[in-house]
Amino acid sequence: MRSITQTMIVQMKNSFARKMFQFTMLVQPIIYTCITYFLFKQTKETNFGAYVVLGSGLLSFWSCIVFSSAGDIDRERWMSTLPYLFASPTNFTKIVIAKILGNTCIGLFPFVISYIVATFIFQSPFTIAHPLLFLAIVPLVILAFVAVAFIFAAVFTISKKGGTLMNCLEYPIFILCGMAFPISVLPDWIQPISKLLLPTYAVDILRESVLSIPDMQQFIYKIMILVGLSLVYFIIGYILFIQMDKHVRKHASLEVF
Amino acid sequence: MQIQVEKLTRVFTRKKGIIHKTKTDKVAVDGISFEVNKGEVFALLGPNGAGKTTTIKILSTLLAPTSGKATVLGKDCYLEAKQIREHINFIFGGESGVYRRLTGKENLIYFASLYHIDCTSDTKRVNQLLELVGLMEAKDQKVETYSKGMIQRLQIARGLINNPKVLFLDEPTLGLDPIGARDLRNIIQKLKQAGTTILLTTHDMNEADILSDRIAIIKEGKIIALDTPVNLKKQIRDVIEIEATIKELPETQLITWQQAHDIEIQSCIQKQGVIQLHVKLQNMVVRDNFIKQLTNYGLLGFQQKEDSLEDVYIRIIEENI
Repeated sequence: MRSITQTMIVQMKNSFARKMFQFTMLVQPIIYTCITYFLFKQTKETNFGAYVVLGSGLLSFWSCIVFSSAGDIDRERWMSTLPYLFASPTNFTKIVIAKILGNTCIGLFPFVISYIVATFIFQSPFTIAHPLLFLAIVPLVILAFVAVAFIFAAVFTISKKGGTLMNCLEYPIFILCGMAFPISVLPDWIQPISKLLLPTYAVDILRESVLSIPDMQQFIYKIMILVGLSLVYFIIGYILFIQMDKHVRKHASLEVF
Repeated sequence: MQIQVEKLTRVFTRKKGIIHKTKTDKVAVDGISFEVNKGEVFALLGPNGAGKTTTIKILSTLLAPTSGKATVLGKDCYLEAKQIREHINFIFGGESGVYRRLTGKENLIYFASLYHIDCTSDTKRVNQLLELVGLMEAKDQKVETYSKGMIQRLQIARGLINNPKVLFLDEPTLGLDPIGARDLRNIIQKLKQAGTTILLTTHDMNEADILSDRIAIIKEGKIIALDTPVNLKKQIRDVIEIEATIKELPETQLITWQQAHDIEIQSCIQKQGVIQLHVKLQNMVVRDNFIKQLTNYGLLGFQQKEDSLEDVYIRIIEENI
């Protein structure tokens, strides 16, 4: 347990110390809040503040997850600390999960920034339609994002091209998972891809719990998909980590060169 | 037996091209075998790219062997890696391998947690190690402010965090100043006395000579010599060089020696009333006879020139003896 908490602390300290992360966590939410505010201002939605806070918060949260939890493996490789983590008696999968949890904790901070900017600066209305459901759903949503990051981390440990993959993943996921606007506006042929992605359901149920739940049965159905799919993602991630353990030792991919 | 290596081979395959893919194999380690006993310091010497680091990586569970077997503490390094990791540690030379944005102390506390060292004993252990490597004063400074040598010393402390039974050191004095290198050598000696088994690679021949019980010289993935430093020196010694001081030397005797096929007079200088001879002799028998003859001419003293490990290494590598 101590190795997990220590990894989380080290992860948070390392992430905070990076200028890029500081920008992603502190400045980017303000920019995203401004963009989404001006996008939703003209709509007839009375609770558009919720769209703004959720939209911009989720965008920044995803950036934190993708740039850190997944990208950190690549960073550890460049710092040559990856072999020391890998060869320590603590299970490497446990270390990676702790790293993701550390980033998830600080990745929630952009929501606070977006809320402050939207409600206090832009005076946007922000109400939560189903506060109890919202509180119950937040841990499930966090777990869903952790599951995605877990798969990415395994892939990035195996591949030496983590940095390139990481940069390619940020914006497509924004769009495909409906983080800023609903996926219904996307072309029909793209929507099945969105349905396979876990954040799509996480974003959807989170948004419905804040705005309104048009169909409770459908809502529960979506929660079940989210939980089931999260489980599938975790199992895939776990299998990948087992494979990764053999792969990195056979292909010497723990180091840059 | 703490380390056992049997016909160990590691091949790296490199792929080139996108459409027309070509594979090239590089044999880094080519069927090497050796054993290291408990409390022994075993050095692997060889030129860059000889396979030393690859061997250490296989033994420290970071790399899989292509064929052959490597065991540490009786466990297979590939198949039973988890059982080995708690009892070993490794230090790679250079400035990387630590978190630069954390302080030296934070780095050690983190690695202590990864090695399951409990909360109450980790501060004590960390402070002991910081003291040992001379970083106590700088423990609360971020590693990014450390000098190259300080980072290397922090690496050493990190490598000792779990009090390993087997320690792998890959060029540990790389980047250390002479005092830092001497201090590390003292640490290695202490570890050896405490029963730690150490596998060391270095390019510093003096260091290998002082520290090692046995040395393996590795070239192009193959072990080409393996013995104690003393025996390695004996093995390549085909001539004996001595410097002697005598009271007198008749011209006829000097000519006789000059004509002998197993004696080679390098120099004969008369200085301050004595004669200084520098001679190369074919073997120990010739040497003993020569010394006997010198006693007839008032032998005041003689010194036999020893080969350094560097001389031995260069000869073995260049001539593949």
